[in-house]
Amino acid sequence: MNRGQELMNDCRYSLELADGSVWVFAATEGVSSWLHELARIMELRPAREKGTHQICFSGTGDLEASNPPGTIQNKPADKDGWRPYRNGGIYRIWRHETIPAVHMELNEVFVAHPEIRYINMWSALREIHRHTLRAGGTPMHAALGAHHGRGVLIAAPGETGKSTCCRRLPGGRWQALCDDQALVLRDRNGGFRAHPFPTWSDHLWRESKKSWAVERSVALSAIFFLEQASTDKAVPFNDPAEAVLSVFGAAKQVWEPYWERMSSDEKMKASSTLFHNASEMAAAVPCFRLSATLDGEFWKEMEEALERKVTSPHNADLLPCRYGSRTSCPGR
Amino acid sequence: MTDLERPVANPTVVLREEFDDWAVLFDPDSGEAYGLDPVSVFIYRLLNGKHMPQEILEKLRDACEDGIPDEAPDHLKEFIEDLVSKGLVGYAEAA
Repeated sequence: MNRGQELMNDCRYSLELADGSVWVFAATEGVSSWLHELARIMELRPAREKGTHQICFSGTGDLEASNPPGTIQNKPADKDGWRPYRNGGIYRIWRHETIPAVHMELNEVFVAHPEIRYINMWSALREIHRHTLRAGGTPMHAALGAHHGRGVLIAAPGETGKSTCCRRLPGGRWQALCDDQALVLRDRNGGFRAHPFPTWSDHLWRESKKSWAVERSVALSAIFFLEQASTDKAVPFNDPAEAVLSVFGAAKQVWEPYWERMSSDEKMKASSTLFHNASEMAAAVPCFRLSATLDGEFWKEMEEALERKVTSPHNADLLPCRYGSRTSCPGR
Repeated sequence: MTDLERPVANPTVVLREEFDDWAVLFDPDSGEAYGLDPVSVFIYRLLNGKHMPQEILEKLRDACEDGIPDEAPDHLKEFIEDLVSKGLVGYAEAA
């Protein structure tokens, strides 16, 4: 192995997710400052454990080289079976069919680049997204808040007002955990929990020094689909299909850029899994349409919706049947 | 669509039924999903290449205790053509 290609003992961080997986991030000397910055943004803790999954980072000047990087070659028993996935000359990812570790080679020309270094961080987290999908969850294009500790997603396309809503949530009983993307996972009991994820555009274009407590997760109690309006209101969806479509849509906004680079078969497999996971989430977590004004107290509508959910174990009042005369429906 | 064509659902498309008889159609090829109300689900189930539109209408009429509106044939035609335009349905070849 080349000198400087060993993983550094003092540059290892870990992230425990709600499904029990523990991700260890480790780097070689050349990219250690890059990993320290990723760890700062995600408030990762120094790794003391081995972890269930590992992402190793190293720098390289030649992404065309056909051999796996030194950190992989150093393990003779594991060196076969690694496959490279390259992206546009910025980085290359090595994955293995059976080993739960990923190696990401960063083009050393761009390691300190003011924008590309954040794109690389964003891309590294794709490995966690892939794991989440396999484990029954998905990243969501949504803000994450907590009301008395209960997790609430506010989902909407860009420029609808997720960040504004987060800024306006009153402190005390509400906490805004992130304003752009949350990671939703199945916990060990089969429920759904959500982790806040960084808003990478803040770092890319606004030179933000902010950090996110990514390891902190909250039990997901409701999903609100935000739309701008002239009055504040939170109403449950009229039919379960609408909830499935909305959850799937918010998840798809994260995945579509990935799908563009996949083969047709890979995309079909990934989109089918995502559809299944989104459907399960929509069935388990109450969904509401949230109309919000710029200066009203929309959060009171959310609180009322959450309260109704708690006092109605079967959510019967949240899912009114729109068919007064069921006998007129075909097939019954 | 002609009156003699038998629509058939794309076999790769997934019909996920929710409670209250609503359902979501999912096309893994495009990654698109569409909501279906109970009447649409009833019709979609008959798009198996064995039924012509007129037969589907008759089955719908039998299933609805209150009958079907005069515009039902047009609605059915529009619905099937919409599914065809999205690649969710095709037509069975004549035997």
